[in-house]
Amino acid sequence: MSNAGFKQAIWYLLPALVVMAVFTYYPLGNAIVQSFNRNRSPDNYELSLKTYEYLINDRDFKVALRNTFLYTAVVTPVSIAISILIASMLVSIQRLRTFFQTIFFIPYVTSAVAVAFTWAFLFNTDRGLVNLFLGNLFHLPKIRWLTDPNVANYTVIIFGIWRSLAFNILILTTGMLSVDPQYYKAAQVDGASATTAFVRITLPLISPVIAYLFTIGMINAFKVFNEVYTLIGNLSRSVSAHTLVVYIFDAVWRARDYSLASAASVVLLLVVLVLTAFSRWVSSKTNFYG
Amino acid sequence: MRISLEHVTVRFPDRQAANKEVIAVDHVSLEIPAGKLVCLLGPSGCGKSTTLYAIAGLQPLDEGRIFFGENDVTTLDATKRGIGFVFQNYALYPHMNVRENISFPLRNAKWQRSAIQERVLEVARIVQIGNLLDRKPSQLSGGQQQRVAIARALAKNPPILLLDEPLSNLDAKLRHSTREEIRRIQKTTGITTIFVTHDQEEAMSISDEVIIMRDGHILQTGRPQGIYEEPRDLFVATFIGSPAMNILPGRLQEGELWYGEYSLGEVSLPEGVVWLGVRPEGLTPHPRGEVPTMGAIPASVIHVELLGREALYQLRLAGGDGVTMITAIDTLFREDEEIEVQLQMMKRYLFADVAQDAEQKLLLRF
Repeated sequence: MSNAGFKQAIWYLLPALVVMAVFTYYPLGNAIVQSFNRNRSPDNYELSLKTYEYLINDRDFKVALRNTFLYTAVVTPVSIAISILIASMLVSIQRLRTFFQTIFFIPYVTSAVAVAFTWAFLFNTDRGLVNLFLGNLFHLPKIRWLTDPNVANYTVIIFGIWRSLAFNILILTTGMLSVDPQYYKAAQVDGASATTAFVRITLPLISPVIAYLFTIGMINAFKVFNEVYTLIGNLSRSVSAHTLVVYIFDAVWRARDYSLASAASVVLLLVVLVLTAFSRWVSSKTNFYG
Repeated sequence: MRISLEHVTVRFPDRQAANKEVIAVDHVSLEIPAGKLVCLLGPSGCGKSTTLYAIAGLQPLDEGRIFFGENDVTTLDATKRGIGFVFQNYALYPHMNVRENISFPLRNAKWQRSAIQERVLEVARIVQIGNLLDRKPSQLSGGQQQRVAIARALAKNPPILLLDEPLSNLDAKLRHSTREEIRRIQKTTGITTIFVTHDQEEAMSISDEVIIMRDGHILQTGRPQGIYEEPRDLFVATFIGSPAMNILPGRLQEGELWYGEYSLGEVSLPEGVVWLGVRPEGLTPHPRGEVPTMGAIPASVIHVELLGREALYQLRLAGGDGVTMITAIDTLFREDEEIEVQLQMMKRYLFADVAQDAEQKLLLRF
């Protein structure tokens, strides 16, 4: 770019750069600095690795890290798989497609907190519809969905899958509709059944979309907070179902340990960076159009 | 395999007006003999592609029946018709390489792996793409993609091959060689082939038979030369042939045909207004003499194009009409030269005027 062009462009970019500097890069840099602070309070700075030492030995942090990985490893692929099924059904209907698309998209635009209250009621041990349903239909014993430390994890995962369906379905429907219908005509002439056409034509052609959803899904899953905190945060003070961001939240607002929260944030940042780089590498390998 | 269509009708909802329909194909009946290459020819929107899609089973019919040989395939799914189809934009699967594209129909037909490999090499040899098997479609030129599309269509040894404007995305030179290629492949395989095109020259050059369509109807069917020499009506006459047939206003009076004040000989037809047609090669030029030749029309040369083998003239007749003339290169006239032209025997066509006959049928060739 010419010098004059740069000078002109910088003025247009400046507002966005200022906002990002103030609200993203300064806090990020500050968090990295604080993570190396020996003391809990930012006012009292002493450089050391003590916080990281504490972090890697902390049982709660390990649980949170494990939960986050489990959540991501289950929610992302399961949600995408279910979304592919629903999206493929959506695109195969002609009438009322927009109507159903809207229905499926509504969870995305509703607040996680509001929805979580509804789910908290559904999963209530004594009065919840889920237990009522399972008890009456399959005579299952009551499950303590939200309060049993061994179950709460999976309750959060089920909720997380449901939450992420909406966005995935929307993107996948759009992706599937953008496949040139000519390919399906060719597949018909070539004697391909609907299933064959779906597996051997639709899926490969929307694979860039799926790769994108994996990246976004993993990043979002790693940052999961609302779903966990609103669903079980108040009921189960046990940390058994906590995730990384909940751990960070608690470090700040319960323990008032800014150094610990910063160190955990840096770990989260590193994990997300590695995963993003990895999924970008994978999607560059699965480029079918080369 | 012989293909017959009986009263095939396809209607589409009208995009402009709700609850209205456009008839794309209107009670079309036709018969395509086994082993022949037949062109469906017509201007865009005439229903030729819709007819082809209907034969392939990709377009449901509103009325009528389709037979392959003796079998009624009207309700048979496209996946089970077993035809080969070459799409206008080829529709090669972009994520598969050439080999996978060609094997796709064979895998669907549950062929043995070894048989598939053998067959892929065989069709690749027929269309001469043996060296491209590992390329992706995006790494191929238009002409190469076209060959792959034909190979894929031929792979399962179909009894019928359908081609939807397969040459329209190629440049002029490639179009020429590819259509000869298609003709060669059709001859060697003996496959019944239907070829859709809007290019009359293309249709004339490769087909055993041409079916001319307009507005969802078949206008004329026949050998290309037959249609060229005996067009059924004014539309076919001007549509077939390049440069197009010259059309002049004529008048039948007192047993003679008149163009303006010039008599063109005796014609025993009822008096009235007609259209007089003559192809560019049906005109014979003469130098303008002192005494006008009988049956000749004075003309001035507007423009001359020398095309190597022949000369293409733009003339203005004494009546004011512009005409095109093609002559051998040895009788040359210069631009602005005053000449006269004669209309050759049996190359003159009379067509009815709209006032008498909406279809403007051919009345006489003389």
